[in-house]
Amino acid sequence: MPETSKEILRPLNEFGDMLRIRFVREGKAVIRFAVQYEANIDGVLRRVVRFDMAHGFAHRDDIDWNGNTIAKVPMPGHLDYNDALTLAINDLATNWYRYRAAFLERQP
Amino acid sequence: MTDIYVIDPLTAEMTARNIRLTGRFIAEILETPEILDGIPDDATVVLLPPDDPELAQYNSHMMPALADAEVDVHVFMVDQVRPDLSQWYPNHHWTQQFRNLEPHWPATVAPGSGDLQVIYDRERDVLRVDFFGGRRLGIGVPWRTGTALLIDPDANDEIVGYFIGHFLEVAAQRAPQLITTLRMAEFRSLTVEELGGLVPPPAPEAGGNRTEQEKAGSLATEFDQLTA
Repeated sequence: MPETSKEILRPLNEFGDMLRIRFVREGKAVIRFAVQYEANIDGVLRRVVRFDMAHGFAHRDDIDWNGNTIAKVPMPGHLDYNDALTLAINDLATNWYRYRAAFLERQP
Repeated sequence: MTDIYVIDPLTAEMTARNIRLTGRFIAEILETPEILDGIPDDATVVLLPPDDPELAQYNSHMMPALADAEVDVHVFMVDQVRPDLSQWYPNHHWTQQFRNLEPHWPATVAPGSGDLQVIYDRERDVLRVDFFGGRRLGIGVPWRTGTALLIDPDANDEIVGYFIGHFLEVAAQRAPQLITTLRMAEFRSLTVEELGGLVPPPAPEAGGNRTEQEKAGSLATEFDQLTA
């Protein structure tokens, strides 16, 4: 079955920060998804960090000012979707501000 | 200029809560992928949690600005009741689209004979003007102080009528030319449908909080002044 993808934006605050969620489906089922935190910096949405989740495989990408991945941090192996999602959301909810601050420090 | 390095405590708290709420949203999608079928690609989804009214209010306040920016805004109620049968999922409306209303007058008001319909609700002291003979039941939208519009959302937010509240107690005294409108009005209570979802505030007692004798005396005085 062909894969289809869909992106959804989730506004987080009145600053304009967003979560961009990308779902990849095969038929009805979701086979992969990614959650990306984007910070609104001077009116421009900039990618800061992304959590990528597929069956049994999940990792975090730290992103630089130009949108390139500068670090790939694996999450504990062989997680099912729900466990991977829980880990990613907890990490992001706890550390989004630090990721944002670190991103701003990387500004050229 | 906003200091991009400083996040106030409220924003920080709501951001964290919204991230966790997004986790719940994604979990619902993983369990019921049909939810995605009702959400357009690149849509902006505002989540309303039934168990966090503070966050629900915070998220609601973001919606008008998003709609103003011409973003495709959809509202999803987290933990909503699902249809009894999964076969019904494809036809279920999982989200509601949000947009700002843009009321405007139609090209022609009261296009046909008998289309102008005026109703005065004495108990509520509300005047309802309908330009389409009751054929188009619009949504009631509060407008300026004491007034409301009847808008047809299926016709690009055309104004099909309006309400004037506190009509005799306030509006007609400010604009006496409106009083003659009563001569073409039907005097009766407005139905729930005719109110378009609005709940007018209660009207003060006619003539104020005075005894019947005081009101009668006042009317006698007015007559003397009118005929002097």
